[in-house]
Order: sequence, then C-alpha cells, then structure tokens
Amino acid sequence: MSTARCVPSAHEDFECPNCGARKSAGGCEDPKKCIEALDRMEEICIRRIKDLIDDNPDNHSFHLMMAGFDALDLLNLGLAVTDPMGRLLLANRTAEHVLAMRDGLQLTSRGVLQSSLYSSPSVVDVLQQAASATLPEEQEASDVVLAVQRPSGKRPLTLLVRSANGLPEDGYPATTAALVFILDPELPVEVDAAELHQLYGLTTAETRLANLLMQGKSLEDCCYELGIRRPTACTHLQQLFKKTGVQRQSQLVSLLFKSIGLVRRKRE
Amino acid sequence: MTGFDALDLLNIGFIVTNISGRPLLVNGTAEKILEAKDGIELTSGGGLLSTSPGCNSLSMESILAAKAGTHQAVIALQRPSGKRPLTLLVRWAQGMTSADDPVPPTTLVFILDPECPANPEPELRQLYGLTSAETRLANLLMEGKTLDECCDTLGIRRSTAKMHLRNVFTKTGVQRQGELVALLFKSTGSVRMGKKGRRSGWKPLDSGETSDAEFPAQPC
Repeated sequence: MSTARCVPSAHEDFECPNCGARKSAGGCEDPKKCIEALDRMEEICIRRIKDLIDDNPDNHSFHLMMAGFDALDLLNLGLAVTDPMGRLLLANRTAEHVLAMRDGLQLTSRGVLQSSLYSSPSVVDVLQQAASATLPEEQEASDVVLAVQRPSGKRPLTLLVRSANGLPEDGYPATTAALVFILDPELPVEVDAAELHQLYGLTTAETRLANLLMQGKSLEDCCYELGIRRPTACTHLQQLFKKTGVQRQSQLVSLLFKSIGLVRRKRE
Repeated sequence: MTGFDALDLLNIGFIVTNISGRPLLVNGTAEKILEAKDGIELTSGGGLLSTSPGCNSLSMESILAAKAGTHQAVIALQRPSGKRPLTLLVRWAQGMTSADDPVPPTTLVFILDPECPANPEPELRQLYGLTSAETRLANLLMEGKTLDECCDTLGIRRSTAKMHLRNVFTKTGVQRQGELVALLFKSTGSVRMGKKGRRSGWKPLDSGETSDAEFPAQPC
C-alpha cells in the first residue's frame, strides 16, 4: 500500500496547490513562500500518520487494513480511494501499477483520477456522485460500473465505483470518499500450480492446460501454446473433467473460477 | 474505515487471523459462510473450527499452524451437506508489508464457495450494455450451463437463445463460449454491487487482541 504520487506530464499545465497559479500564466508570485507552505503541509501530514502508528501500538485496525489491501492485491484487484473531488487518497499496489501504465486510467498533475480517453459519463463525475452520496438510497444509485477504453486497444478496464460514506466518528466528521475497484481483464490468471495439484490432484501438464482454459483459450490454442498434440490435450481434458467432477469445458472454467478464482500466489 | 468497506463488497469470504488462527477480521461473505456452519464455523471461544467430515476433530488452528512453514496453503473443506467442498486459500502476511514495520504476523484466509452463484447481473448490463434477456443468458453460461440447459431454465426456444448468444459475443467481442465465460469472470471479478453484503460497520470480534473501540459497532 502506498499513497498517491503525482507525476506532472509534459502535456499538462502545472497548477500550484498552494496559491493556485498556473505555470502557463507565469507560475507562483512568490515561489519560495509556496515551497515553504507545501513543506509545512507535508510535515503535518507525515506527523499525523506517524502519530497514528506510534501512539497506538495496539491499534491493530491500521495493520488489519494493510492486510486487507494486501488481500485485494492477491485477488489482482486494484483499489483506489478518492475524495469527492476525485483526488486519489490511497491506492493498493495493483491500482498503482495500473495508474503507472497510463493506459486507460491515470492521474492528473493535481492527483485527480481521470480516464486516458474521453468517457461518458466522465470518471470524475462518477467519483463525485459516489463520494457525495450520503443517504443509503443515493449510495445504491451511485454504484456504477464503467468500461474504460484504453489507448493501447487492449480490452477496457472495468471500474466499479462505490460510495464509502462512514458515520461521523468521535471528533472526526463523516468521511466522504469513493471506492474504485479496478479490474484489468488482460492480466493473466496466475493460479498456483501447486495449489491446483493439492485441490484436485492435477498433474503439472493438467494444471498448465487448466490455466490456459481459464484465460479463455480454445483447445487448439492450448495445444499450440503447450506444444502438445490434440489427442494428448484431449486426454488431459478428460482427466480434468474426471478429477473435478464436471462434464464440459465451460463448466470446468466456471468451476475453476469459483473454486480457486483469481487468488494468486504471493509475489516475493 | 474505507479499506474495510471495500472488503465487504467482495463476494468471496475473507478472514484475517492472528498466527494461532484466531480471526481478527471477518468480511460479510465470510460471516455468512461461517453462519451456515457447513464445513467451517466459529467455536464459542471465537476460533475457527472445521466441521468437515474428513477432519472432524481438527480445529482450524492446528491445520493453519501445521502449514505455517510453507507461507501458503490450500485446503478443500468437505461439507456435511454434500455440496461441493469450500476452498480455503491461506497466505501468510508477514513480509508483505515493509521490512522495518513491526507488524504482528497475520494470516490471510480466502474462503471460496463454488456453489455460490457468481450473479453479476447489474455489472454485466452496465459494462457491456447487455439487455435483460442477454444478461440472464450470460449469467447462466457463467455457471457452466449449456445452451440447451439455458433454454430450459429461461423457457426460451433454442433459436432465441442463439440470437441472444450472438449478441452477447458481439457486445463483448469474443468468439467462443469458453472465452466468454473466462472474460466475464475476469472483467467482473469478485466485487458485487448493491445491498448484498453491504453493512454499515465492522462488527467487533471479541478475540482478546482487538478492543471494541477499534471497530466501533455502528447501528444498521
């Protein structure tokens, strides 16, 4: 888990977060003052985070949340949390990776989540709507699924936007935020061979075939990729059916997704 | 906390346990699976217990502890009801966060129920612009049904089903049924929308290590 980093691209106009002056309009009136102010803001922010961790050594909830972010990474599921303005507050590693590729979804120089290509409704509008929904009915209506097109021509990213409005907690106002789940259908399914072996007693060759079928490949494609002949592939497939107790290929794919799913092994 | 809200939107069960297998955090889906007491449940002491016919007397703690050397494990839990076994995928969380962070070691446990329908209807409709009829068909195909079985379930003729299928192929940009099933799982993942699984707060687990103050119980 890490916080947002904004990398201003050469094509974008930089706007000072302190005084609001644009680079194209000559920049800050007093750059030194602005830098000092931003340094101060950063210090306060870091101190707050440190206090949160240091002052509450028994505060497991922070660590549990980290564990939750790790869990989403293991599901190949990107999670980004934004404020009502669409600014990125938190992102897990998977979401960070997607943003870094700038292929479909990216950050503006001000740290606002935006789609790389034109989309209707715009990502920012959807985030604003989700983050400002306070009533349960509004929250439900603001649950949105977006297909975000990618400049590379790859399959669109799936964005699932949910409102995350907590109730006010002692001293703090109610949080208003949008949860953005990011799914990349082009990511390979990385089911662990050892686990498929344990779960269904599959051999290595059967596991490789199962993995390719989970990518949506046809039996012919599988033969080609594995460098095996069709009768061999058919034997493996029959074994897969027998060991998992299914009758058909689509049933097998469905069962594999539901029983082992997209949970992958830990990256070291 | 927003991070916890996110976990409640998953349709797969997720539990964080301490090193001895005691749950510290349980998401909504895992809670439902535990309540069903079909393969796995909570003991009165707050630990995880497998009711699987194969390992009746074994508590989950001993299973988890026995596998602790390998950093990950998968367990198929047979169910008294005779349904397809639950899959328990275990990942040890140490080392996943930064090295200088003194995080107490925890275990991440995913629980998958193959009998639970994927059911991403609203997602499919919005994502690919499918009609209601197309969505219903896509949904059944995701369950591994044949086109004939879909016709029976939906009460439509084969020619109608074929037409819907062609439209679904066009709208999703795939050529085959297997490819469609894989794409639908990969593009909708395990996140579900709507009321299902939405809770207004995290229920505190009386595990002795977390106090109620850290998970304020909020009125529903």
